[in-house]
Amino acid sequence: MGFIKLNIKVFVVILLSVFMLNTLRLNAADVAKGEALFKQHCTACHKVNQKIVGPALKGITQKYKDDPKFLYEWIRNNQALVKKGDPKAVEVSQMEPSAMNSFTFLQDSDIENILAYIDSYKDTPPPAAPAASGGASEGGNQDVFSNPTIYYSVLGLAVLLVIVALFLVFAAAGLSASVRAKEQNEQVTSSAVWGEFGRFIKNKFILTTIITVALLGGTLKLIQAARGVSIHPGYMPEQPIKFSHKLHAGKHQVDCQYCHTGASKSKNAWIPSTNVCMNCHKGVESGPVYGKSEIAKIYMSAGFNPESKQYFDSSTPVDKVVEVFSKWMSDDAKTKNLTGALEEVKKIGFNKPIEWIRIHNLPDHAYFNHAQHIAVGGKDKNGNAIECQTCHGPVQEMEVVYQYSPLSMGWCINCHRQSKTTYTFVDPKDPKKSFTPSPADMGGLDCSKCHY
Amino acid sequence: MKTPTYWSGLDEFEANVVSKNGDEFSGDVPLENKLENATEESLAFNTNRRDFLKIFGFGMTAATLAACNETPLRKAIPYVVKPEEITPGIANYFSSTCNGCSAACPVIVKTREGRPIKLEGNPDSRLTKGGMCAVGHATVLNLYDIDRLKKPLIGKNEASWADVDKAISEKLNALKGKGSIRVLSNTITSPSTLTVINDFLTVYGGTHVMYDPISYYAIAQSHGLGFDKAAIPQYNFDKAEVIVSFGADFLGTWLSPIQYSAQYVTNRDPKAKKMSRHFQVEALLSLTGTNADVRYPINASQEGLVLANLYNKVARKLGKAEIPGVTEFNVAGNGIDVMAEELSAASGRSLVVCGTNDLALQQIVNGLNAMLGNYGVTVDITNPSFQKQGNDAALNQLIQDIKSGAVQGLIVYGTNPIFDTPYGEELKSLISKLSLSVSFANKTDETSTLCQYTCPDSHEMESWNDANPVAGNYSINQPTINTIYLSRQAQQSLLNWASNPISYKDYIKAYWAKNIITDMIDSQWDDVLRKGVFHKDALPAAAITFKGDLVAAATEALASGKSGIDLVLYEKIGIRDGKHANNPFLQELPDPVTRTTWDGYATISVKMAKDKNLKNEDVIEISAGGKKLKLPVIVQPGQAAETIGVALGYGRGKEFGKTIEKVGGENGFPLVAFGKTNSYRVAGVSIASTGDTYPIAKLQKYDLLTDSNPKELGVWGDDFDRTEAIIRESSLENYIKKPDAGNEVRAHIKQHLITLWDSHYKEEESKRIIRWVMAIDLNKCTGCGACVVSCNAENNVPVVGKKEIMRHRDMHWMRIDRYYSGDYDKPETIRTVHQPMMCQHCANAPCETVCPVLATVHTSDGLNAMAYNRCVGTRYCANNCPYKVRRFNWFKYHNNDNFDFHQNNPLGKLVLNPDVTVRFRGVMEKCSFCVQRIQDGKLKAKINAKQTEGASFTKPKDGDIKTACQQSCPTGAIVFGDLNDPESEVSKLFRDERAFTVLEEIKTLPSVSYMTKIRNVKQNEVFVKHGGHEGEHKEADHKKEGGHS
Repeated sequence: MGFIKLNIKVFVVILLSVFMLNTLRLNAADVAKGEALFKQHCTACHKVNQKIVGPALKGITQKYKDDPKFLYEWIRNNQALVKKGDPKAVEVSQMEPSAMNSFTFLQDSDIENILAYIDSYKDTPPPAAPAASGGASEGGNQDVFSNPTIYYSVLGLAVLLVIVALFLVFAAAGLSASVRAKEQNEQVTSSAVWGEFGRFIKNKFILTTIITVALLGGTLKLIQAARGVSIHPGYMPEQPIKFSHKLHAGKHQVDCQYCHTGASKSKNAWIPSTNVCMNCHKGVESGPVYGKSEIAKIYMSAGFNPESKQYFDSSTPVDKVVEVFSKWMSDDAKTKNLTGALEEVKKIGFNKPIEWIRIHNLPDHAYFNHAQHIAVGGKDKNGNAIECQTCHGPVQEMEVVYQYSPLSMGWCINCHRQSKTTYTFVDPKDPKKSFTPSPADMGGLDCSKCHY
Repeated sequence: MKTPTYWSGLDEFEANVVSKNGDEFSGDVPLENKLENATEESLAFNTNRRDFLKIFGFGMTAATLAACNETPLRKAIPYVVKPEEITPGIANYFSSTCNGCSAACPVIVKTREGRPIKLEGNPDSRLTKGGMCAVGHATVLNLYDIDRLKKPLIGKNEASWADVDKAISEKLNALKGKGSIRVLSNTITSPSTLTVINDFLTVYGGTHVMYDPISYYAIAQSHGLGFDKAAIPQYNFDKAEVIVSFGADFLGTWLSPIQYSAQYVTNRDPKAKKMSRHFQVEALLSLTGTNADVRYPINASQEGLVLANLYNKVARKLGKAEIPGVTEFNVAGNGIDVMAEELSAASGRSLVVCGTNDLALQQIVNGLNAMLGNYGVTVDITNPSFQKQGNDAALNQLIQDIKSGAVQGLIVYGTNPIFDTPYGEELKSLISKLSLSVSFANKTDETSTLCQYTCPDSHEMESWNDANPVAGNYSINQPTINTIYLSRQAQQSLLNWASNPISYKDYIKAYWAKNIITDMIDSQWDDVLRKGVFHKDALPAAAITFKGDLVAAATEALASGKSGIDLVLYEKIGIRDGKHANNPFLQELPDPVTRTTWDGYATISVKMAKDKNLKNEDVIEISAGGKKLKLPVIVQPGQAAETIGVALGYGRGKEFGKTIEKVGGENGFPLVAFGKTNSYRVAGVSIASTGDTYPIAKLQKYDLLTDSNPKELGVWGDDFDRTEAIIRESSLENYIKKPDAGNEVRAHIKQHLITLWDSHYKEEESKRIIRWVMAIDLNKCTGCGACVVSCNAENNVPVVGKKEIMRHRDMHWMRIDRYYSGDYDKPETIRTVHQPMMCQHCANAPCETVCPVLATVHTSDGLNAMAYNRCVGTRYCANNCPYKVRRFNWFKYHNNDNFDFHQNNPLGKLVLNPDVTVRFRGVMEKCSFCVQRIQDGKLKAKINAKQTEGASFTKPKDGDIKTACQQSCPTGAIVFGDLNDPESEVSKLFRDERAFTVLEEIKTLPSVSYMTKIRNVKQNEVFVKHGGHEGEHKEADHKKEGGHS
């Protein structure tokens, strides 16, 4: 008996530990870390499945599987490798005209994580997170549980294990009941088996363990959920105009600050006013995907008559305006549903501003200044100038813009901790003394830097 | 332990003299009372387990549900066509002119995305040098007053401008050419407006009558009689070595207080080893009186006698003719002799001013100034002031003319005669007899409700205008926002009615081209608009001879000295003539002397209070000249024994505004009497106690920095005087002998600091790149309160109302503590010190160590930062703050209709500074040293450095970052800057011998230093308390010699 009991205890503990580890999200931490590192350091030049500045990285580990050490050294300091005359390095360095930065601070484990991420990378569209998905975790889609296949298979496995466990307990109960019956020379009745089963189930040790584990797991889950409140990376609302940054910033290489003029002067980067759109769209009347239907919305907002190339008189009745658009759009092959398109144009409002949906929502008590980062804030920890993409991600590749970074305080502070200044500060009391202040010296970590 | 030198009220004075209880709390804590009287049953809990579980369960569910709101969809809406000058997120500044009172100070308006949010003084002005007063700062809130008229009115019904214009034009045409139209206004300093009114009257026939609710007509009239030039002269307090002021509150409310404050302090710096001597002879304790070196309280009716005696004594010294028939009289022993002696010694460099609107008194003052040769130096009649042009006789004549029917049309511009003239009751019945009555009021008031038409004038920040407050000094008034409602500026209305098609903006430009800048080209005009001010050189003073009849004047002045109680109607800082009564900033601004808010009251002397057995908040009935006022009393130390003071501007009709509704007090204007001039003094008043009491919201006890007993701690010598830890004061004589006079104790304290911690931080503050600190010069601070309102406007400080103030829940980040010294019973011994008090940003901050959630921490540049979103509201920090400068948000003031003070409505919210968080309920807040300005200044310095010098690091230049209080200060008492920059002004002040910090011995290491108050007093004029009632004039150094050696 004692033997059986002991074994059941061990079994239950093992079983529950599996559950608990599940709640702890034992989910390939190295991939998640790798993704974070990749986004932080690599995305400025690399994509996994596409060449941008640097080559696409898919299959890189396969390529160098016979000499994995090379990859580590290359990533850490490719310049040194080239200088050393490593033949492979020299070959790689000639593939691209621009040299790769060095990342000497990366540990082997970091690089391992990055490579693991690259290997595990699957082509999925950016997650279309709902507006108020309370529990989205920090750092994007690194949570394996957000993949429904994995989630349900783990869940199924857990249910299966529970059933097996119950079955085993029942079998043990049957055995125990028959042993007892034998000892007392009685028939094994089903009620005796059920009674034994009940005793197993009601075992205080098991109950206590289940409750403790459930509470611990629940608390952990709650903390994780709470930390994700109001943090929505991947937030990608539908905008009133299907404006494509991929087309404007990517293909046509329009500078970010051509439209977002405020970024270098003010705390606001600004959404450009319609008159800025008109600088180009006076001439550009039709887009490659949506034809005239989206550009008509700009004209509606600006009050521009595409037929006469003049601005409407502001007192023109809206119906008249829509009539003009209707005529102008009628020959557009890309506008399939003219009535629907006109309805949307009407929604913009004649001579009314375009009501974009704000993607990057900072809480009111957090002060952020674009100029501080664009005009002053110099270098990240690798010595690279801070670009718009550092925080906003590869906007030039986004068909529809989404929130790239978590915009959480931890994320801000991390960058403030790691970045560097290039200033030299001379001590006014002793001109001989000078030092390079860190951002922390300059108040970069003060509460009052952002909260007042 | 002795009684403290300083006390803040009668209760404290007596508590220390009589019982010396020295308790930390002013009263019992209510819970303790309850516990003492508790019985077994009353303390028994009636809650059982089930109730507890129910409540607990409900609480959990409610909290969970409350947390379940969706993240709102937020929009980013750009312009359709962005105005070129607007950079969202960056402020624009426009130069303009303040319209808070007729002093017309040049200002700079800060706008954000097209809405004005803050006013600052214009530093280019020769008059104000960049200072501003409390009223000026508050006027920005008038713009967003929800009580403003939305449309013109015909009778009480809203109408369109076209209808109103048509109706008025018809009536005007009917009156045309009869000369029966009057335009009634207060003083207008705008030359263009004056010509618009004249143009209008030329078309329709009539005259323009100007009056001032608080009149200065006697000064102009007396100069007419004495010098054939009926104008108010320009006073130069900066050139005066001896100033004698008879009740003129020139630092607070008199004529042009900001200009005079700026002048006054230029002679108050002890570093020059020379300071002006300032005598104040007055009945009430005015703000100017609190700043005086020597103050002689006299009853209001004795003023003539004192002036005549002073004249004769000066004449005797200078060998000139005396006025015959003047009874010998003196104040405070030999006060008049002292003044006469010093005045005559400083002939040509002295100044006598008088705040009483009495022709006879002003004539004697003119005679005195003329005899002393002050004309052309300290009194400049050649370049007069136009800040008060009101004519009492013309106003009186107007009433007679309406009565007789000679006046048929009345156009009331920017004034409210039914409230603020002595003829209110009369006019109420007369106004309906007029065939045309028009008011330009932009909020309904007592007068406009009785007028046939109300044509709402635009707020000054929506209008064009100009100003010429003092000869040679011009400024411009630009609109900074489109009209919010369907208002139209009065000048435009008059131009329209006179069928002049020009816009007023063009009219001004044309006027300037014709009269001010001859052959003006556009670039000159642009320059005027940019700078906001234009100066012409002052004319050289013309030689003058005084030819007034002093004998007649003296006879008249002496005749007014009746027996009995005098009543003085005075103007209060903040409330002034009552025009801005609907402004919650001003109602909540505590009076600098009485430290009260929200109510009108009568101040009485200590002697009167004892004689009539009255105490604070008792309601009395004042009978004066057949009229009665029922007011609560405030016992005012320093006030002359037989004089009562009642502030004007209270008692507005409750129906005229949401804020006015909440203000107590009664209207004193009906007591004003017209003789030759309007008189604001009533003699032979009687008072009677009604037996009622009326609570007044004071900030008095609250500001008491109470005495713990450091004697036990063994730090101080036996002759410990606790108040020295808060305020230090000495005389100029002592200062010249020893620059650390009054501050000797500092060296001693520095060696005996008591603290639990040596320092909170491993790294010393001095090693940091920047350490922000502030220095406040008690010699320059006059206590005017401008900084308080400026701080409110800059930092979105909510107004909380009377009820909350009475619970000590005021939210002001900055307060100006007022401490008296001297003997309560002897008004002539009372001296007053004002001390601005805000967060001291201690390097060893006691608040930081007790915060359980690290919501208040120290920053790398030495600020004591407050992270609101971290604060959970334990209030431990406020309890542990020795300076009591932390404020707790008991309510969500900005969205709570119980706090109906503009911030709760969408229009009022437009005044909020977008760079400062609007604090929510349950968090602590306090002065941040205007951290938003600091961050902005640092960023600007860095951007400039990047653009000009490549990538080198640049600190903001000294003086580039100014806190809101510093910028508004008319006297430059507040200096802010970097202590770790040895060249900065503030670090020089920190090294000054006068510098001390408050409560230094507890080693909080404050970042705010105060400069010892130095008064220009002689040894025998220094009154040192000790035992209160035995009060004799003692040696100044007495307490020092007892010594802490």
